[in-house]
Amino acid sequence: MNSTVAGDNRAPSLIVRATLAMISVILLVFLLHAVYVYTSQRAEIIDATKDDINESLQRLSENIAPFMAAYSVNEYEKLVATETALKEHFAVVVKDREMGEIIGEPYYVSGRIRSEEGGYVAYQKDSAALNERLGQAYMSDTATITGADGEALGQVSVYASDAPLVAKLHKVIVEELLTILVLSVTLSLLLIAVLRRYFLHSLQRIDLAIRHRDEEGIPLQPVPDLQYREIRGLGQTINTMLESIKESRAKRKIESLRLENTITGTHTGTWEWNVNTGETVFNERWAEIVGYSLAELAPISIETWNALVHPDDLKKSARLLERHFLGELPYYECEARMRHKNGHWVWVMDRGCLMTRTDDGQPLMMYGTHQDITERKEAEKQLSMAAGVFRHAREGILITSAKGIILDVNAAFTQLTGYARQDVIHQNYQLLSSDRHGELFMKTMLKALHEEGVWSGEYWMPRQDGAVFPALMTIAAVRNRAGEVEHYVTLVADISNLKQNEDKLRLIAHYDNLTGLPNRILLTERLRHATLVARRRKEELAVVFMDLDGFKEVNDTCGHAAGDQLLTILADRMKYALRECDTVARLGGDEFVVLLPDLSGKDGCRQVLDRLLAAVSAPACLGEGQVQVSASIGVSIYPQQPDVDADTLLRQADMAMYQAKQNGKNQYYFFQPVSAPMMPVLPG
Amino acid sequence: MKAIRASRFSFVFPLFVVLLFVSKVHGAEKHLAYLVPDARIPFWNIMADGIRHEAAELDYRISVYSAENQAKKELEFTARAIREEVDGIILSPTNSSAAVTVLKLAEQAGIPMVISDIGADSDNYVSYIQSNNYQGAYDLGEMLALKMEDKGWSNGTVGIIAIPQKRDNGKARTRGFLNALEEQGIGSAGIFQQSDFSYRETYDFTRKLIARHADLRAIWLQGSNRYQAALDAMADAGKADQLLLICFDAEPEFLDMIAGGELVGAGMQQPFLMGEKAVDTMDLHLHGRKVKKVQQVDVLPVSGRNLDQWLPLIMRNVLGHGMESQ
Repeated sequence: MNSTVAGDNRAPSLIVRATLAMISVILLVFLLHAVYVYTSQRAEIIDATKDDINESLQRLSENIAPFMAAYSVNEYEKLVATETALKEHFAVVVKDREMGEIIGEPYYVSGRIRSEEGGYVAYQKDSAALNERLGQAYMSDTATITGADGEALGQVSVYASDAPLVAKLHKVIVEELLTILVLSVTLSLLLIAVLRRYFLHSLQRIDLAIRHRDEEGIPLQPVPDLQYREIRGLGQTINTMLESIKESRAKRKIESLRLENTITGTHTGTWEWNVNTGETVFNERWAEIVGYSLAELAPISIETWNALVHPDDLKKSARLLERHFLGELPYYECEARMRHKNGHWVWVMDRGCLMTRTDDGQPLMMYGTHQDITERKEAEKQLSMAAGVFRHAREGILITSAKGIILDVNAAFTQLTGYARQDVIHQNYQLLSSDRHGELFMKTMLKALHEEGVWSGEYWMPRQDGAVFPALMTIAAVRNRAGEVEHYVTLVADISNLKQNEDKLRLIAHYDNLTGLPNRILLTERLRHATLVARRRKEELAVVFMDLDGFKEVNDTCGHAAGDQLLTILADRMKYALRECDTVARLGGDEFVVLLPDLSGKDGCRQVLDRLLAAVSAPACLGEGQVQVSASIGVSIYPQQPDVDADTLLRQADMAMYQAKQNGKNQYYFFQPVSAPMMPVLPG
Repeated sequence: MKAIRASRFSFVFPLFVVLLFVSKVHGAEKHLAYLVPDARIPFWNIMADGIRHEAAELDYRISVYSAENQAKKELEFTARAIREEVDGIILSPTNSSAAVTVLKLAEQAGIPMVISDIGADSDNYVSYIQSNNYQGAYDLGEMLALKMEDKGWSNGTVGIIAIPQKRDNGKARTRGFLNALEEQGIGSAGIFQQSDFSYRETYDFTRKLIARHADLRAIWLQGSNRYQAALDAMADAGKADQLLLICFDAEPEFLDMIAGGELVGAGMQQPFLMGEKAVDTMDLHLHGRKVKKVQQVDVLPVSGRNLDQWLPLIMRNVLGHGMESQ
């Protein structure tokens, strides 16, 4: 930047100022000197005049005397004329007594007097004009002229006018003024030369060095090393300052770049507001937030803001600004709605700070930013809604970080698990792991989360007291815009009741309501399972089909309730008579099936069959009475050749029970494969 | 040069005769005063005679006051003449300086004054009658050169014993004489100024000139009264026959000395004629006629060659013989 700083030509010149100051000082000094010289010269001139008068008187009286004695009037008149002219006396008058006697008068008077024109003329005692002029003499003195014998020959008077005095003083003044002028000019020229040579030259070198500046006005080159210590010190100081400025500017540039990048990166609008004048400066982003360009908003002023901001928010902004101006708020911050060019409202975060005030303390310059927070406001809205769900949901909600650190839980969670919020916050998710789930379960869960972002299933949720409860758990990954998992949200629903209901249903479906013994369905499942196990283990099992003998009579005579009671009693006796691994099921009425796994052939089950016959045939107390029934038992053994299924085994046992019934009751009868062709398959 | 000189005198002499015999009725009942420095000195006395003679011719009453070379007396006579209310004053001042005061007093009294011979340091006079010193000295130079030529001295120098050179007549004499010598190719051996006009002074100056300049051929005295000292010095130096002497002014014995060759020549002023001319000038002034401010009277270069020719003129105008006052 080579342009001269504006206003340079109007700036006072150092040389001119210094020269004027020096001239003033010189003039003052010499004027004082002139006054002193004038005063002293005046006294000297007066004294010199007196001395001249006395000297002339002495000289004339001595020199005239012989001429006067010799009547050489012309000679002494020439002396007088010479003395008068030489000493520039105003007048010299000689009174010659001897000559006076000759012409018949007291004195012959002669002399010289300065005329009006400045020359000297002969004095004539009878001339009134000359006498009047003589009376104008400034000072005079008279000496007596004496002859060789001491006789008085006459008198000589010397007159001085003030004209020489004035002329001499005038001359003194003129000389002094000329001296002042010459010395002032000389000293000023010397001063200018010295200043230019030793000072201005150095300053010009500095100026020349720093004249070439960049666009910010910072000199491009350092000040050269100068000759004189003081100026060199100045130059070094300037260089140090320049280095500091450059470093500072570099830092500032970086900071500015950072700020610019920040503003650009954050899509921040900026504004400057002269509170006093209303002048306002926005950046392009400020306008972009509301859908405009700066050109479209021109002319820009504080009214631009006032026109676009929501009326309610404008009032709020005004209140906040007022509080900020009063010092109650360190910063101004206001969320406001602004009318977008398309007509909708956008939310902006309007922040600013008053940076300068006027001399009387009034707000002046304020700087701030606009941040489009519309999305954030929407998010906040949604978040608020989510927070409501979070707070009021009946399911437990657990929020963890991507690394499994528990960030928050809702109240439902604490109720479900018994964990207080502070007990789980910042704890690892492992805190909630359950021993009931194996490693495979957990891998499956994590894989689903990783691949699908969600996993849902039943989970045994541990309680704070160590117990667990069944929960339907859903874990969802919350990802950011980059698709990275930021959080996991876990919903935990207690399904204990559901599980209980399931158990009840399962119980109802597989067990006999009266006796609590497995029903046909469950028996079938177990029979199938047992045949599978027996086949795999190469073991034997027995299917025992049992029908009570005489139960119809009890039921008919004692009533169905007693019959039911008898059935219950017999069921309990059969459970006690059997092994732990055995199963006894009621098929309905007075028909029971017993599954005897892990047998060692027919002999292995005969003891059990005997205990069954004994248990059934033992008398049973029904109310005040006692009844006694027996059982006919058919038995089929697995495995058989060829293999048979469960249903076949059960039909074979039924057919064998029929044989036992036929053979006299209260006995058991093993199914004989040869009789199988005789046992057609009967519908259940 | 000789022709010019003859022509000049042929003009002066008839003028003199005319003036001598002009009508004498101009100064009837008028009174003139002549202030003479010292009437005892022949020159002044001759001039006084010329004044008396012409005043008588013009019918003026004349009072001659001799100051006897005293300024006081000169002033007293001036005051006396003023008191007597003379019609005019002819002044031959004791010196030019004293003339100033006299002129001043006369001017204050309104009396016209004519100066005769010795000038004044002021010019408030009617006319100044003076000898033509330059011409007289120049003629003497030519005269000496001619004499030296006669002697066969082709080279040599001339020593000068001068009256004070501050006086105009002294300067004019020196200038005229040297110009003539220069024109004749004769050098000057040196110049001594008289101060006390004593015999000894002139003698010593002469001896010095003789001693210092071996080629000295002549001594020129600008005054006449100490000619004897010069002659004695030349004689004492053994140069009487080898040196020439020439003088300005005249002494009565000069006629014989020039005739006898003891003196080469003399420039003779004409005091009688000057006195007459002064009166004539005053007369013209009193009659309202315009007169010349300065009037010069020829100095007669008298040598052995013209002595006889000019003798009557010398006798009257120079020596005043036969014209004494009546």
